[in-house]
This record gives sequence, C-alpha cells and structure tokens, in this order.
Amino acid sequence: MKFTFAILYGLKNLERRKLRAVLTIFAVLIGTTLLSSMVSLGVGLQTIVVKNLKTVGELTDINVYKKEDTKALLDGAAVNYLENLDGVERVTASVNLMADSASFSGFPQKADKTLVTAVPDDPGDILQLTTGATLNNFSGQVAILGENFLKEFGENYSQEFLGKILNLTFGEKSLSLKIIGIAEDENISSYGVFIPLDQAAVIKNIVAYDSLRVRADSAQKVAGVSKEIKNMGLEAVALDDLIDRVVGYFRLLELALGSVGLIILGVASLGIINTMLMATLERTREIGLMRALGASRLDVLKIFSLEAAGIGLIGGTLGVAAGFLITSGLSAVLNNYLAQKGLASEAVRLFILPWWLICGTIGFATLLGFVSGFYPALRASRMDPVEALRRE
Amino acid sequence: MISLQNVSKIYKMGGAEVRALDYVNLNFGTGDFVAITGPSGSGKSTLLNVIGGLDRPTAGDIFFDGLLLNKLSDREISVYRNSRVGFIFQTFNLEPTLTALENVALPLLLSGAPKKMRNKAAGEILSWLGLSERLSFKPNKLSGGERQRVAIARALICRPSIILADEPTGNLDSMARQQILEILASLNQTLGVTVLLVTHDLEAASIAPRVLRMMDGKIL
Repeated sequence: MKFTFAILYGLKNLERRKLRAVLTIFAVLIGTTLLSSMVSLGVGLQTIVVKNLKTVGELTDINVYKKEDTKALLDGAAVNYLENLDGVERVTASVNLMADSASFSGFPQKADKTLVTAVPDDPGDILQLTTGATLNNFSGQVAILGENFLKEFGENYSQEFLGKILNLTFGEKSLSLKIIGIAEDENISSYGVFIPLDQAAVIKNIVAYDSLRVRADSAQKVAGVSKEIKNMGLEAVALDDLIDRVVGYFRLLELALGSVGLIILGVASLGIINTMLMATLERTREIGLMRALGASRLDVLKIFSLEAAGIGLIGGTLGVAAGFLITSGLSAVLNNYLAQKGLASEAVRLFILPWWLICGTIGFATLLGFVSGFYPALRASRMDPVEALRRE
Repeated sequence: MISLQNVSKIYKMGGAEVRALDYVNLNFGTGDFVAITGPSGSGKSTLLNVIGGLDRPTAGDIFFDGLLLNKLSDREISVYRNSRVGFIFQTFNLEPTLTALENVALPLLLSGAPKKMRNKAAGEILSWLGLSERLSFKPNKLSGGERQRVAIARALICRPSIILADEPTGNLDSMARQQILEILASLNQTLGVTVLLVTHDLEAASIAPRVLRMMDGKIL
C-alpha cells in the first residue's frame, strides 16, 4: 500500500467525524500556541539582553575585580604584571566614587548621588565620544559626560553643554571640571560621569583600583588571559562568559515558559488516544472490510497512526500560526505604547519566532500525534478480520 | 487449483470448543461454480474465510495453485486476498462515505494503482454491470440490488481467480436476487472465474453445477 494512500485515507476519516477531529485538533492547537509563543518570548528576551550586553564592550575585554576572600589587590603592581602578560593588549584601571551632588555653573538643577568613574590618562575606548576631543592626555580639571546623564537634568540639557563647568561635591570636598566630551547614547558609559585619576586623588587617597579592564589581543586569547588573572586571585569576567551564562539562564527560562504548553500538549495527547480508540471501535467493520480487500495488519497500523499524526500536524501548524498572530499583535501594541511614550527609538522585538522553533513545534506535535495514535492503531491492526466484519 | 487437506478450524467459545471445520478434504478446479449449503453454524462461512485467506485453519493445509496459504506471512496473504480473491458479503459492506466508483476502486487503491487507472477500471466494470449512471452515487442512494452489483464490481476489480460469495442474495428481493445469481453465473461462464457461493437458499444453490452440503463442520 502506498504511503500517500494512508495519508489521504486518514485525512478523509478525520473529515468524516469533523466535530470530534476539530475538538482534538483544537487541544493540540492551544498547546502548540502556548509552547511556540512562550519560547519565542524567551528567544526575544535573550536576543535583547545579549544585544545590550554586547554594547557594554568588546568581546576581547575582560573585567577584573577584587575577590572578597583573597588578599590580591588591584594596585599598580597588578596592572604592571597584567600589562606584561602574553596576549594582553592594554589594561585600563578605574576607581569609583560617589558624588553627593552634581550641578552645572549657571544652571539651577542639581542631581543627587552621582556615580563618578575615575580613569587614567589614556582610557582607551572605554569612552566613545560623540562630541568633543579625542583623549590622549586625560588629566587636570576636566570631565566627560554621558548623554543619558545629561538627559536626567531635563530637556534643556543637551550636547551644547560642551565647555560648561560641572560641579561635583564629595562631603566637604568638591571639584569644578570643564566638560570636554560627551559619550554617545549607545554606550553604557552614556549614563556616567568620567574624571581623570588625578582628580580622584584630590578627593581620596587611592591605594588600589576598583576595577580593571584587560583587553586581549584577540578573542582566542580571552580564555588564557582570564585563567592567568584568576591564578592571581582576582575575579575575571569576560563578556563572552557572561553572554554564555546569560544564554544558559534563558534556556531555562524558555523551558519554564514552554512547560505550560507541554502540559497542555500532554492533555491533548490523551485526547488523541481517546479519539483514536473511539475511531477504531466505530470503524471495526470497516477495518475488517479493508483487511478482506487486501490490507495487511501493517497497512491498518499505518492508516490509523498516520491519521493521529495528521491531528498533530494540523493542530501544530495552526497552533504555530495562531502563536505568530498573537505575539505579532502583542508586539504591535507594545511598540505602539512605547512609541507614544517616547521610550523606544526603534521597535522592540519582544517575540522572535526562528525557523527551528516553527519546525520544532510542528514536528513535535506531529510526533506526539503519531505516538498517541500508536496504541489505538496497534489494537486496530490486531483485530480479527472475521470478527470485525461480523460486528454491527 | 484449490485443495484443502485435513483442514480443521476450532473456536473456543466460553470453555467449550467449537469445530467449525472438522477434517475437511476438498478440491476445486479452475472455473468451477460450487454452491455450499447447510444450516447456520455448519461451517460454510468459515470454509470461505479460510479459502479467502481471511482466517487461518487450526490444522491442515490449504493449497491455492500450489501456494500453501497457511504458511504465508500476513503481508503475503494480504497480497493474495487483494489480487486473487474477491469477497461478496450478504450485507454488501460498502463504505457509506464513498461513491460507487470509489468503493469499487478501493482494492486498487490498496495495491497502489495510479488514480487514472483505478477510475478507468472501476468505471468499466460498473458499466459492464449496468451501473454506468450510478458512478457518483453514494450507497444510500442505491437500491439493494444495485449495492450488491457495486460490491460484485469491487470483488472483480483486481481480476481475481476466485469469487467467494457469502449469502449474496440474503438481503435482496426476488427480482434483485435473480439478477445477482445471473451475474454470478455469467462471470463464471464468460470470465472463467471460480465461484464459491454460500447460501441457505436451495433454489439459488441449484444454479451451480456442483452443490456441497455441510453439517457440523463436515462436508456431507
């Protein structure tokens, strides 16, 4: 018997008991809708987070911190040692300060509690400037601001602040710094205030740095350099590691989100078993006739299990399509809202439906149908044809 | 052509054993027309079913053109049923959702014939049986006699060597009954198909040149 015949015949039988087929398919549809849209939410969130992580810095960068439980210090000696390591291109040290207030000379607004990062002469491309001078010798009473830091002061605060004076107070002490550059919006540094290390030394006695950024020659060297840093008793976090770890968490999230759909699919599977068992009982006589006309046991098994797989295939396809429509709708509503509030410059893709998810969901639903239909199909194939033909 | 040697079929009903066939020895030649009569439960239908490969004997051998039927695999005996045997039933056993043409084409579908060939063959046989106006009718739009003719067309579609008719006139009025018996006689005479006709009806049996009588699983 031809495979196509088994498929066509199975579909014809589904058509014959329309309502029951539709109800069973609907259960599969709900499960696959949930499964595909929840996992697509996970994939979307993961993509957004990874994309943002990548703006934090280069893949060749390793952030180095002091560990709580070791005596290793992030001091000048450590910087020297790291700079001479094989595979290290550059080491940039920084010190974090908390200013009690920040304001601009000649302007009334004031910001409380501002994070100030002190960086050495040559901060490399920790800072990416949209406006202002290139940094060869970052020292003296100067500062670089992030675009988003400026926005916190209000709409009137824009890039025209280049050249204005920034006043920072630290308890009794204070700094008045000329703004020589503004860091662009895309970069994480756009939220901060950056000052030269010599200015930080005015505020406090610097014994050690708070963090280092070590840049490797190439991405291949990152793992080796990270290991060396860890051997020194320091904490090394490469962006690559971080992304890997984040992706790992998102896999768990996708599984958790998808499990609701999986549970519903489990229930749908019981529905398929029930539907197919009913079908084999109702069609006992027909099974007998098919056998008399030359169908083997295997043919009967094929007809019924392919029919059940058809339920899965149809339900899965419709489910993924429904999931796509629903998530597209939600996405449109969300982006509309964000655009109205002026919160997003570009559309946010909260749901992403990749090909592997489409094919995987439909394939899984089809397999589920096949497996669920297998026992009823096996029972049908084992019927005695003589008995079956006698059945009313 | 067909040879049964010491064929027995034993059913278990409750605790008791029923001998539906009791050491049957029988031979049929190609082109034979044989009527089998006997009371209910005498084993007539069981005899047809074991010859048709729908049932397997408990003991004994059945040869069909030298083929030992009781040793064939399920797949092999299915091919045998499809290509060599045509069953005709008392209750017609037509698929209610299929048209007359589709019902007749069903055995060819099972053997994997292409659609064009199936429809052509089914149309020709139905026309030969005087049903050319009924090709697209579903069974519930056909009279009893017409339904049985559709069933005969289905039995003939794969050009079988043997037709096994189990009470084919049992559900028909006298006119339709006469017509069906004439068709069976004519396909035996014109096509040379072997026909085994199981019937209660002694008058119907009398159209066959050879009549066997069964009782308690034995040929009398």
